[in-house]
Amino acid sequence: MRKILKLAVSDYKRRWNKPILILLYVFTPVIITLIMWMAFGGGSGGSGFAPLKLAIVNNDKGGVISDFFVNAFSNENAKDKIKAFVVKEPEAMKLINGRKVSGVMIIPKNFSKNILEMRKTEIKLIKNPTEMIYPMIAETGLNIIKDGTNYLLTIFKDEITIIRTAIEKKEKMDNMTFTTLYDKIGDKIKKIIPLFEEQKIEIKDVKEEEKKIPMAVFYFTGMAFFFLFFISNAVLNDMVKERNGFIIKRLFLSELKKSEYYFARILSVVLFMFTIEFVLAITGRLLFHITTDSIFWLLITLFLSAIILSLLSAVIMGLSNNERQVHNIGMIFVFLFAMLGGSLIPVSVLPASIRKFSVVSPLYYITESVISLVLQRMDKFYHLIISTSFIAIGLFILSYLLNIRALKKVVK
Amino acid sequence: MLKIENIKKSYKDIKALKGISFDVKKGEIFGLLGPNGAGKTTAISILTTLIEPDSGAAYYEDKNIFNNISWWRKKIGVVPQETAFYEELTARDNLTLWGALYGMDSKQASERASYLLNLMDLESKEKAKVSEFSGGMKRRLNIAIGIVHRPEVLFLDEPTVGIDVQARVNIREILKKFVNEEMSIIYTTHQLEEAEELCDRIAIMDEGEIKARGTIEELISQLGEETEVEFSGEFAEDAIRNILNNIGVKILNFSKETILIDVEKEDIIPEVVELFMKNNVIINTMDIKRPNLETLFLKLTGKELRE
Ligand SMILES: Nc1ncnc2c1ncn2[C@@H]1O[C@H](COP(=O)(O)OP(=O)(O)OP(=O)(O)O)[C@@H](O)[C@H]1O
Ligand SMILES: [Mg+2]
Repeated sequence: MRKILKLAVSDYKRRWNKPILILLYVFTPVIITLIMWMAFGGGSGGSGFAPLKLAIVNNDKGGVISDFFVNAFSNENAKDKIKAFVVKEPEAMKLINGRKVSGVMIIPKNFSKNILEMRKTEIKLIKNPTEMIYPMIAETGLNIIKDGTNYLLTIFKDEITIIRTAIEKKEKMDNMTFTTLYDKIGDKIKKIIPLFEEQKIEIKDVKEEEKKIPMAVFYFTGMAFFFLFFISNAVLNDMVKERNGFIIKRLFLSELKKSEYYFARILSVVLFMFTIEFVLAITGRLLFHITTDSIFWLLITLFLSAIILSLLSAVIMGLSNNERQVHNIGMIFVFLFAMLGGSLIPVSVLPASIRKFSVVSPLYYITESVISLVLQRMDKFYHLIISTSFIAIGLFILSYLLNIRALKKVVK
Repeated sequence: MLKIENIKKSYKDIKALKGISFDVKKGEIFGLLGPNGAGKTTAISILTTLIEPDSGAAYYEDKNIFNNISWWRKKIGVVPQETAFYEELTARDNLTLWGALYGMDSKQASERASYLLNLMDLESKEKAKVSEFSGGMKRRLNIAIGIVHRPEVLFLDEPTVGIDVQARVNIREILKKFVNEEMSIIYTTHQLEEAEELCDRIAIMDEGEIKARGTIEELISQLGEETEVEFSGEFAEDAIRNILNNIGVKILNFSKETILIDVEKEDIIPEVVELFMKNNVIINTMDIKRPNLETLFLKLTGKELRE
């Protein structure tokens, strides 16, 4: 045990020999995430975001509710966050096809009427396929407005009930009654909108938080693991280099066993990866407000992902005979697993046919673990953590066998 | 005593060792002297269990080392031809690492490291990373790691290769201090002076074979050659032949300016000089050519021993 620790510690020390390189590796995901942020529409809004551009097609002109929707999106206070244009449908399609806007919101005909008559109705949202995050924001915004509408419907329950009963009983409502009612509702809404607009500030805040979390959490977690995989490969590459030199022979001429050597190497790399992940987690919290209430589970997740990455790299080292092979096999593993695992593109955005294979990628489990922890989807998180643990055990056995076999080729 | 019997090793069609035998006595420095590609490293690798021989055996304390590998590995220290340690660490870190790997506790390892740093003259650079060391310093650390666990038998594979003369001399001086460590040393080199200066006995190797072995004196006498003396001056043939024939000295080469003679015993040289002076022979210079390892080496291998 002392031998393992001593070897692991000296190994760990050696890892910090090139701090610049490590810094570069560590902060690349940070920088990429920042660039992606700015890339959405160029320039930067108050919080580093460009305002979301949304085209609204209102096929229900004059409808109380639809006007409210349009109003909500083109609210003065929200201008630096959302830029809404009210346009005709063909023009909106041109905008989205030209990738000029992040999304098109289409309010259907009779939207207000349907809502008032308690009929289900839907707003169509066409997302810009080249953007992943903003449409999500639009959706979130829409949800908030939907909630607002539902809230309004509760307020106007009485009025609506009158109308509905009238309709259900097929009672003829004279024009007068209907118009009065309608006007009444309109008045109420008109009175309530300023209230909403004041409340908007609050809603806006909620939106901002929600906006930040999904975007940063997806990109930052994904990019971080992508680069961490590179780092663990670069670090463990040493094992292959060492196998082809004399140091390894010198190590095994001492009383060191092959299994002890393997454990020491894995231990030092896991600790190293954990250290870097820790730094990244703090950076993510400071820069992108990625955070969680459960520090305990965060540490567990980071530790498990350090193990997964280290063991994945160890498998690559076990398969490679020289540095060239490490590079080639490493590239295949890194890109395949990163792609499938949602490091480069969020899994939810992957085509369904590819998404099926995500479960093959160990990166999927660690990326999703972090995301679900941050988004507080704890059920999913616990499942992921259990799967990750099993994968770690499997990878451990596989990499152990491969590496001991490779070592036996070098020293008896 | 280490006894090596008829070890053979081939790499595909290259016969690296064609059956070598020698023995190394307790506490002696045994030199394996040979040019590049002679098979020195191959021999060392086999004796240190890093590669397997095709055939042959080696015994230490009457145990076959190839059948008792882990026992044997504890007895030996190896200083490879290429330096082998972690350049990103300090010399002390390297020494304590190998100390720990040989089962020392941290106090023992640290004490041993201090002793070796002192012995190897590396104390002043104790805190520097090895990557900042000079070639000679790296070589010295390479040796220190090889003896960290006080081996009984030490294998040194060309420990002074690729460094300047000064650093070489320095290492030789350090190696002489090793006598205190009571180790048997097997030392490979292609440096004649080194072998002559350090080694108690030598085996001359070439093309996978041991061509001759013994002490330096034994080897030279084995050569069966005598000392030659070359005079330059002005010589009259008849007179000279007369003088030299009288005392039974053979003339190997004669010209009016130089003569080369063969002397069986060196104490005859003053007599020759005296006779020349008595007979008014003019001598400008005199050069005594004794047979040495180089002559022997050249004769055995047909090669000059140069890097
Ligand atoms: N792994 C190997 N595969 C094939 N041939 C080898 C291998 N190792 C050594 N040889 C060959 O065996 C012969 C002896 O090599 P060896 O390294 O033992 O020589 P050496 O005396 O140590 O030379 P040097 O002074 O250059 O170190 C050489 O012809 C070499 O090319
Ligand atoms: Mg050699």
